[in-house]
Amino acid sequence: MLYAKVKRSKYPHALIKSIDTKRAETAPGVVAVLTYKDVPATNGFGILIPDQPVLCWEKVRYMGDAVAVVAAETPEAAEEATNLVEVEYSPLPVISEPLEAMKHDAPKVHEKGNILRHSRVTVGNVDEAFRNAAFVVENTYRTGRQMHMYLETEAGVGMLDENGKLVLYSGGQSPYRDQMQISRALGIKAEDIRVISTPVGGAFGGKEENTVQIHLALLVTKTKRPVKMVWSREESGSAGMKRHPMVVTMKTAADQEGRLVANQVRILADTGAYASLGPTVLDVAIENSCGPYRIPNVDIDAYSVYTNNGVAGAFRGFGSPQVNFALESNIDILAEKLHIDRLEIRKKNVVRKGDTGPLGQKLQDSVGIYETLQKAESSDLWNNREKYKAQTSAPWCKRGIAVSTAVKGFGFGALPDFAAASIQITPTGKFVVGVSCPEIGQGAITAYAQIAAEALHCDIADVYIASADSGLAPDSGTSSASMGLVRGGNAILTTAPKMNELLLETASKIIADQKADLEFQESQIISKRNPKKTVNYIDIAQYLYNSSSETRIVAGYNVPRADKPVEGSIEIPHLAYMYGTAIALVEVDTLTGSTKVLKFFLSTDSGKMINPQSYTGQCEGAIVQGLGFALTEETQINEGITKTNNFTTYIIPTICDVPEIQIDPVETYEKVGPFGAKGLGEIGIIPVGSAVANAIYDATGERVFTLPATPERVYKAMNERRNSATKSNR
Amino acid sequence: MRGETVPPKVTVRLFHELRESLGQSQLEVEADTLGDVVASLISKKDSVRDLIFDSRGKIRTYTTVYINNAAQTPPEFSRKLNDGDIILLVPTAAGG
Repeated sequence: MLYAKVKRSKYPHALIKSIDTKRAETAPGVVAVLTYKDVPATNGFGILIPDQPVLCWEKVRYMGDAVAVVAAETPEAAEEATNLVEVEYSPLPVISEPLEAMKHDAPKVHEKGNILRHSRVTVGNVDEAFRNAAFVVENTYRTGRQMHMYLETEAGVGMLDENGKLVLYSGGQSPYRDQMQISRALGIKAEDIRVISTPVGGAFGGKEENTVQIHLALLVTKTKRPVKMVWSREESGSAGMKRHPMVVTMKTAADQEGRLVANQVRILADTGAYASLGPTVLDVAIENSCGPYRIPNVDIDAYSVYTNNGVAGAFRGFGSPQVNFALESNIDILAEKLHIDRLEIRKKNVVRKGDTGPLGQKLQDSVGIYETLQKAESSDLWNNREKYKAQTSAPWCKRGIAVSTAVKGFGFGALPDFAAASIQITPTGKFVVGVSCPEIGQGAITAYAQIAAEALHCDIADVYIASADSGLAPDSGTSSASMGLVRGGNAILTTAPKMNELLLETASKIIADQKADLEFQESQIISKRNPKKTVNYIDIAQYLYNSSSETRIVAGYNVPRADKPVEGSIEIPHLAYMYGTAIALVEVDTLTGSTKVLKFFLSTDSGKMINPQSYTGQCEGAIVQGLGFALTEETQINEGITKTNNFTTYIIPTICDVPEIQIDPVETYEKVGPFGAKGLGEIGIIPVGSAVANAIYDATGERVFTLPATPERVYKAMNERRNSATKSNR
Repeated sequence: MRGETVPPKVTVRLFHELRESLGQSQLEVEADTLGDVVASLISKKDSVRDLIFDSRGKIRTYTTVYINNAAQTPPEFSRKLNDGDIILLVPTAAGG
C-alpha cells in the first residue's frame, strides 16, 4: 500500500511561475510525484462546470488548490515529499469580499470574470404591492460559512484488479458521478473504472463533489499499486466544501389582515474559488426565499460570485437555511407590527393543496405545511410557552420561544433525472438488490431493504443491498437533494415487478399451473386453486440456475419532474416539496450573550415514513446540525486564509448542547415517492436558524441579523440598546 | 462512389442519463460535425433530445460537450470533426 498526500497552494491567489519536483522524487520512500503534466485528459473537475484544476498549472485560486500529489511507502514520507516540491509563485490580490468581487475593475478569479451566475425571477408587481401594503419591513441578513465537519474526513483507497481495471473505494455520494469525473480527467472509458462509494456516517453534500477520487486514480494508474489517501482534519477544513455564506436583503409586505402581498429579495452568495454546485444552490435559495407562503408579488435578484474564500457547494439545505433566516425573521417582525400571533400569521399564509406557489408552482399533491403548524400549535412547548419562559435558571438569564416554518423541494426539480436498480435471485432463494445511491448515514440501506422485501414478498433478512458499487449496481443517481430514498426506492419498485414476473413464470413451470392462478406468500408462491401446491423461492432459484436461465433483472425509470424551469433558473421549480415547522425555546445569558437551546420541537411533512427510527434520527441530526449553523459554526477566512480548520477552533454542537427534542411527524401521501414517501434529509435543518434567532428576540427584545448568533453578536445587540438607552437618558 | 467523401469516424462517450437512455456508454459514429453526432444520437432514441436540449431547443445549461478533452462552451454544432476525435457528452445531472 502506498500513501498519498497533496501539495496544496501556499497562497489564496497567485500565478504559478514554476514547479520543481526533483527533490521530492528522490526523497526516501517516494514512489511518484505527479503534477499537471501527468493529467492525461481534462485537467478539471466539478459536477456542473469542471473549472477546478485536478492539478494546477498556471494559477491557484484558493489555499486548498492542489499543485502536486505524491505517493510514498509511508504517510510520513508522503508528507515530507510534499514539503520538498518547490513551487515558485507570483502572488495576486486576494478577493475576499463578494461585493468587491462584483466590481468591474476587481481582479479576476477566473478569466470569464467573478460572477458565476446571476438570476432574476419576478412574479407580479412588487412596487405596486409595496405602495398598497399596510406594513413593509426590510432588513439585511448575513449567514456564516458552515463546514460539514463529518467525523470521517475525505478518504479513499484505489487499486488495480486482476484484469488491470481501476477500482476505487471512497466515501462519495454517487459512484457514477465519481466515475464520470475520473473518466473525464484520465481519458479512460467509464466502464473501465469501478467506483465503490463506501458507507460513511456523514456527507451532508460535502462529498458530492470529487475530493480524493481523481488524485487516487492518477496515482494508481501511474504506480500500478494500491494507494490510500486520507485528508487530515485541517486539510478537510481548508480544501473541503463549505456552505455558501449569503447576504440576503429582504423586503416583505403584508396587508392589514396579515396576508403577505410582496417579497423582494436580493441574494449575494460567496461561492469561493470554483463553481461546484454553486449555480443550483443559488436556484434553490431563490426558490426557498419565499418559503411555503402564498405571496402574489415577488422579485428575486440573485448573484453567486467567485472569491478566493475556499470553495462552497452542496450542504444540507442547499441554500435554504440562509434565505429562511431572512424570511422567517421578517415574518416575525410583521406579526409584531400587525399584533398577530406569530403562529397565526403563518397559518394564514401557508400554501395548501391545489394552490399555486410563489414562483408559479402547481402544488397538486401532498402539501402538509398547515398540518405541521397545527402540530406545533398543539405541542406542549407552544401551549406552555409562558410557563417555560418563566423558568429561567438565573436572574440575569432571559428565555424566549419562537416558531418557524420551512419548505424544500426534493430531487433535481425541472432537470432530467434517471434511476435504475438491479435485482438478482441467489441460488438460495434470496435477493441481491443493486442500488448505487450510497449510504451516507441516512439509513438508505435499511430503507431499500424494507422496500425490496415488501415488493418481493420476502423477509427483510433475505435481501442484501449491493450498495453504491458501479461494478454491481446500475446507476441509481446520487444520495443528495433529499432524494436517495425516492430515487433508489422507486428504482427498486420499478424492478421488483419484473423479478416477480420471472418468479411467477418459473413457479408456473414448476407447479404446472397458470400464472394467473398463482399468488405470492412469504418467500413462496402458491396455487390459489389448490393451496397445497406451493413452491418456495429456494426451489425457484434452483430451477433457474439449473436451467441456466436469467437470474438478474435491471430496470429504471425517469424521475418525474416539473414541466419546465422557472424563467431565469436552471433547476427550479421542484415537482414536490417537503415541509416543516419548528419551535425553539432558548435561554440567553444577558451577561455574556451566550444562548442555550433548551427545548426544540419539529414537525415535518416528509410523506409516508418508511422507517420511523431513521425518520427520528434524520430529524434529530438535522436539528443539531442546524444549531451549529444558528449559534457557533462559522469558518473564519481572513484574506483567503482559513483560520478555523479543526475541532478546537471550529465549534460544533456536542451532546452538552443538544436540547430536549420532540418530533411529531405529519404523514401525507406523495404519489411521486415509494409508498407515498417524500424526501427528508434536509427539511429538518432549514428552520432551525430562524427559530433560534426569533427566540433570541423573544427573550431579549433584540434581533440578530447575522448567524451564527455568537455570544459576541448577541451581547453586542443587547449592549447597543443599553448604550443608546443610556445616551437618551442623559 | 467516386466524388463522395466518407464522413470522419468519431468515438462518442456518454454519461449518466444519456448512457442509461441509449443503453451504451460508448459508440462509434460517422459524422462531419458535432451537430451530426447529436442528430445521430437523437435518431437512435428521440427522448435523447430532452436530455441535451431544453424546452426552447437550446442546449441545456451546464450540459458539457468535450472534443478531445477540451470543453466546448458553448458547443458549436457546425464544428467540423476529424477521424478519431473523441467526444464526451455529459448531461446536467446534479442539483438539490
